[in-house]
Amino acid sequence: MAQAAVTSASSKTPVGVFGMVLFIASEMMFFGGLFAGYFMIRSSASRWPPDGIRLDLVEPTVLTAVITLTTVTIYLARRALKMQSIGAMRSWVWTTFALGAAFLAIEYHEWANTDFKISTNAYGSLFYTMTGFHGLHVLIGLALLLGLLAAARHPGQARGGAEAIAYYWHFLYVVWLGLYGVIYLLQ
Amino acid sequence: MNGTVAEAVRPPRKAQSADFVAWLVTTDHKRIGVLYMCTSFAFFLIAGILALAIRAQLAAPGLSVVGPHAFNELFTLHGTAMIFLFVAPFGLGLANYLVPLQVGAADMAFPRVNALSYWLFVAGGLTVFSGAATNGGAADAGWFAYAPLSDIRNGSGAGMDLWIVGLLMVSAASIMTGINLLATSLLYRAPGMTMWRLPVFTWEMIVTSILILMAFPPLATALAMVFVDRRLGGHFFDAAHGGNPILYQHLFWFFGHPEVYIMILPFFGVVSETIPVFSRKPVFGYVGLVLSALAIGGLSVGVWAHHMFATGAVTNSFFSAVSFLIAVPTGVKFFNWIGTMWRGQLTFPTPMLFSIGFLLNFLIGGITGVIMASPPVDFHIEDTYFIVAHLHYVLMGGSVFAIFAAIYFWFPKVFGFRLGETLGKWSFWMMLPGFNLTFFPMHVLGLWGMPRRVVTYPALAGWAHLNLLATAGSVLLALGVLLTVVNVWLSSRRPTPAGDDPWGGYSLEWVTTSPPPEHNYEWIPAIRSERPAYDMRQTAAKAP
Ligand code: HEM
Ligand SMILES: [Cu+2]
Repeated sequence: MAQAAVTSASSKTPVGVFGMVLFIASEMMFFGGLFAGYFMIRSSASRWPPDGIRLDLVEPTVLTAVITLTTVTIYLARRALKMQSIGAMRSWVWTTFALGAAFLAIEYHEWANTDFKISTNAYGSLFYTMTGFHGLHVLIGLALLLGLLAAARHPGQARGGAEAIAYYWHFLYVVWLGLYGVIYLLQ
Repeated sequence: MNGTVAEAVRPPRKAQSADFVAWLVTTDHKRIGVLYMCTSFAFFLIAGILALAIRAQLAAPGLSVVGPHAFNELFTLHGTAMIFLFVAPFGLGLANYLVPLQVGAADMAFPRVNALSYWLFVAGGLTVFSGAATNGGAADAGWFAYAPLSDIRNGSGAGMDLWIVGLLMVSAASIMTGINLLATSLLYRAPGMTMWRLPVFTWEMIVTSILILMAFPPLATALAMVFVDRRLGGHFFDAAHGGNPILYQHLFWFFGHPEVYIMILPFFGVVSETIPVFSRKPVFGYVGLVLSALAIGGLSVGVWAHHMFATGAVTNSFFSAVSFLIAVPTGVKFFNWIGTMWRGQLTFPTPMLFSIGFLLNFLIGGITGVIMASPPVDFHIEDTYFIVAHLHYVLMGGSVFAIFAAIYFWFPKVFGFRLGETLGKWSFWMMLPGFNLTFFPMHVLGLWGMPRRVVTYPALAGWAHLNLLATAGSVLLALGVLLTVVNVWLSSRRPTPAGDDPWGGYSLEWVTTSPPPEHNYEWIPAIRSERPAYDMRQTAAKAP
């Protein structure tokens, strides 16, 4: 009988990235539930958005631009890491961080200037819950970036982490595009 | 080997406190698996006591053992604990223990995430139960917490909020475990362990994990919305402010039906392991079993609205048709198990008895399921005791009997000593009639129109005898469960060493020691089929 060595990973896929992909899939289902709720409530409404509610497009468009930039900067951070230039990687991660923080700040400003609340009607509940959960995920993304900076001291280990976090930022981006399209553009 | 067995069973006193801490901080999948299973079994015992209280209240017409409000809390906590804190997590705990062993890995893919899952599960369970200590009492809107029952006007107490938060934690724990199981079974297989050689149990866990990733997030969405409605003044489910109460039902059952498969597929896996071993035959139709699991997984996300026929808000014919379809792969599995036993050299130790009990009970539950999948029939039995009978035949008679089969089957592997056969058999022969006496009458009660979730009923309705019978049955069932608990206690006082492979097992875990060493395997035999342990014995027998 042959004796095989006890294994660790038997495949080339970095397991952290694989885990992140599955996690993102489950997150997509979570946001999918929110979008399903949005369409269901919208389809039974007589006027949408309800009377007296109109969303301004300027700030959300700025938000879209900002989050688009983060997908570029996180890509550059990953490329820098691959090329072993830790300094460049750090500055790209910090740039991403700053853009992400700006995103949250602008979103907060927008929230503060809308004339309806989460408790005004079902529309308000949807609006704040959907954008709120996305914002919460951006916040988590910021924490992940800080974690990545801490891990960058050991570039070998940071590689898989950087890839996983980049996937996560793209997921934030995709969800935002959905929100932008559904909530703002299709008013 | 016996030396190590004795040590594992009874650690010297001094080592005990250090040992205790080691268990608390462990990231070893075997320990986490054991913790998961023991904790969920504790929830089972608690939820069982709640069930006995329910049966006491319903034993005769017009009783007031508990008041109406307490009764609502009882069935809510009972259902929640059984579903979210026992059956599903027990399957995950078992998988935690078995999947790395069965695929030949040293641990789960993410050991620390694994530990986090377990502790989140414990915290979530305790959070749900902590509602009972609040002023307004525990949650009382049933295990599916329909809006508007769950809204703030129907219960402003913190119990409902704790229920929501607790279940969110349990959901997060399940999702992390699902990711872990998928990564482990797909990426950490030993050389030679191809996908088509994975044990059926591992396959069932792969499908279960996929369902977890699809189903639990929408549950979290629904729970978050209920929370927003309750505490932030939201109106998701409030039609007066543009909301839609049916939305909750859609989100919940989009989770709820896959959830019932999350609660049965692991146990399809269990009996697919036990039945071949006790029939001394390879499993009949391995590929069929795997494909039917995938088919069930696929179909189960398309049937949720069969829980909503009576709302009039869904396309009944579509959801009915898909629900009928799901009986086909389930039937395939049945033929596989029967085919495995056919002309086998059957033996009937306790795990086999429980597996056969599973087959009998689940068959009845499957048939009633198909009956209810027909909307015209469902209109009559919706919200009656017929539903209660169906769900207990599949979950208690099915999943829980298979859980007992799993306990008796793998206990020797996990702890290195066996559970007593005599008490085990007594336990089974009390649980089987106890279960059927409790739940069979409920079919009849349902057809006679007895609604579910009523605190009492009038004597004139003519339901008294069957209810008394059900209560008597539940006592017998409870005593049967108790016997297994006693069995564990007595067997551990005088451990009978089990050896590595007490049953002549087939899958990889029977190759290593009982209990397995920290990293599971010192060496792994050549894997040439889905029965590596069996192959190894054959090769050894042929060798001079
Ligand atoms: C042959 C496959 C099955 C079919 C066609 C089926 C069909 C149904 C239907 C139509 C209902 C809704 C009855 C109503 O509310 O009016 C139902 C309820 C239920 N089923 Fe099944 N079922 C099947 C298998 C299972 C399995 C395997 C499980 C769990 C292991 C399960 C667990 C439940 C539960 C828990 C409920 C009650 C939900 C509640 O509290 O209202 N079913 N089933
Ligand atoms: Cu269902």
